[in-house]
Amino acid sequence: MLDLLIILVVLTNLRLLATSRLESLISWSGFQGMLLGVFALLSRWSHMAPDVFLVGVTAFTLKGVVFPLMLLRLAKTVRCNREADPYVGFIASTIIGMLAFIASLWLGARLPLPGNDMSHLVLPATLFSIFSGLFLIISRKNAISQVIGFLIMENGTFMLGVGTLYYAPFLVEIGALLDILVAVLIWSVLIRFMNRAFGNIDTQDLNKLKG
Amino acid sequence: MTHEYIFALLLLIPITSGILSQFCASQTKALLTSFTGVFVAILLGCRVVMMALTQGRIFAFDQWLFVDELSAWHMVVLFLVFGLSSLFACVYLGEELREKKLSLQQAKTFAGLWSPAMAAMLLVLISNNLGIMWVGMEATTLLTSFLVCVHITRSSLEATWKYMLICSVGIGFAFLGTMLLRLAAKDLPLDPNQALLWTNLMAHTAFLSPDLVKAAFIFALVGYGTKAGLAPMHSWLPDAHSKAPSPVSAIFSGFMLNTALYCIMRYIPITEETLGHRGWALNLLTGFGLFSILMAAAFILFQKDMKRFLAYCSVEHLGIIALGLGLGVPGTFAALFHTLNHSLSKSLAFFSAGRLGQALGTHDIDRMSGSISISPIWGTGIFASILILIGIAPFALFMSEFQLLKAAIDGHHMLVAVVFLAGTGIIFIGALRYALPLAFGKPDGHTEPIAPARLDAFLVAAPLLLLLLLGLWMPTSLQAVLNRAAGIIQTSPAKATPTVQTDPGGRR
Repeated sequence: MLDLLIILVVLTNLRLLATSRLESLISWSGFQGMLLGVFALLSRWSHMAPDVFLVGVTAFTLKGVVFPLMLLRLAKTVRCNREADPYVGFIASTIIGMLAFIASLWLGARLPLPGNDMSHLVLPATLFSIFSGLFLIISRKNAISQVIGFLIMENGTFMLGVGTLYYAPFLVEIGALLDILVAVLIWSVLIRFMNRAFGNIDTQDLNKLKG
Repeated sequence: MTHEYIFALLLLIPITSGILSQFCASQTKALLTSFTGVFVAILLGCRVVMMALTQGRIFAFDQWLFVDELSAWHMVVLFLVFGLSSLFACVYLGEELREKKLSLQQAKTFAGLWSPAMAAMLLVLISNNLGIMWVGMEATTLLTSFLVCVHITRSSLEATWKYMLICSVGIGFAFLGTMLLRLAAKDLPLDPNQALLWTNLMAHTAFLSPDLVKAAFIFALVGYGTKAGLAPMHSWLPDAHSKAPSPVSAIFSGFMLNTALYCIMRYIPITEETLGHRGWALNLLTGFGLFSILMAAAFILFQKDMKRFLAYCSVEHLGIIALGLGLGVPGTFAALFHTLNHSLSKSLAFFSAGRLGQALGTHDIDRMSGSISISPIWGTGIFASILILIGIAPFALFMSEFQLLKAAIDGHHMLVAVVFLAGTGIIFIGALRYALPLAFGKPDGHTEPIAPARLDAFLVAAPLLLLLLLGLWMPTSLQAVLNRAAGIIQTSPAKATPTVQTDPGGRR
């Protein structure tokens, strides 16, 4: 079951790399967030405790519902529905994504995790999520796509945490989730300001400061 | 008062004053509320520092928070930078108020973020839990992002965007590093709530998985290194430093970068001990340090904007500190001393550049020439601080660079010494080329001279005198504190292990 969830996360990453419509990009990232919320609950099912449960539910709500809704509203406000002209095309992105997944599998096999009794796919999938997120950030021009790239990256690290440890200090996990919530809030405000100042949310226009 | 109360107050006072400032009816009141919080926290913090220096390590909240000599030393630097910057903010924002350039909303934004940003940096310094340290570090990015664009313009938005994006990605890497370190300690019989404690990890380095610790160190170095402005991850730094209001640039350069480097300092002994003191982590730091110095040297020669020039200077000096950390105990001693010297001189440089730029309406180096005739106080400040930053004797920064060079030569790292000298030499010449016309050149057009004020004179004289004093004479007590702090980063192969708490619930 855990393996299935991880494979679904990997597939959503590939889907995100191939998507041009902003709305579906946001929805797919939300779907991945929901998957991770479920994953966080299932992976620790045998060691369930109230705080562990709360972490899973918070992750599901924030990553799967709150962030996508915030970003969808934002995309509507700034009237942007498409990543028009990315630095790397969508087909090329998918191919690069698949190659990166193979590389992640190889790298994951070289770094054995001590006492890992959950799933051996966790580390490769984490590395792949981090790669996909970074790739979205550097290959897309739209500010919202870049925010999603950051969220995907964070999803990867979150998966490593909940996919290998039955218990991490509650305050640390919740603190990390809340930090990301604040980050997304700040980004939405910043993108609104940018839209007002530049008339669009294309980060290509952010090129005045150099040297 | 128990330690718990003191630690809680230390964090709550600046946060509360930031919140209270939101209810003030005028700009002045909002700003003063925030600054009051900063100064009360500094007074309390001094007490914590004294306790740590006299009693040794002090813990609170189930050992999640602690202060030892290393964090105490950084707290001293933080208090100096934040205290001086808050005073300078009174001068700088006071002028903006007089010119009616600061709306109530902008003042509230500034006040509401200024003192909580201090709390976030303090949280990083007093965290024994590496996860909480990460949370604090991420909070510094979040809290300071809108300080960069208090005045919303196209360029300040661009700088804020780059700052948020690049630093968040960097901090994301650091989180992965934290997680990997937690996994490296997974098989230890520790209470999971205590497993990320730095003191516990240090006590169990013999049982950590070396491969995972290596991976964790690389991610932490790249992640926190991004926030510290080490090259090649420094690209956000010149933009954010140049576009932020000057008091903010001063805390960025004067302390926020050091906070990130402090996090790396905590990872060094864990990695070195686990890998058997082979110098693996130290070599990486030396490499990043040297690369940052050379990168800064290459860019400094072509700067036109004063604050961008100072920002590249920060890349250089953070590189120097990282290099020192890579050179064993004597190098680390010099690096920690350099932290104070750089923070003081860089704050002064940003104060002067900010105040002069405010009067001249530009930070263009050419158009700022003849600054001493425009303002003898701030003109002297900028001239002296640039000279100090490039390492003029007998100021303290020269001494720490000299100690570092000596550490490199004594350790037979000749290549390191040569590259260090070449990099700082280029910067010396490049910066001197700017500094002389900047101070004594002919003013560009007619500018009203800045009326001297007592606070201005204090803000320039205090750091200068302190740097001069420390350059000429280093008290033995300071030497002892630095030695003990350096000993925390550079542990010797044989060391006693402190007691640890074991896992009562059997959860892992």
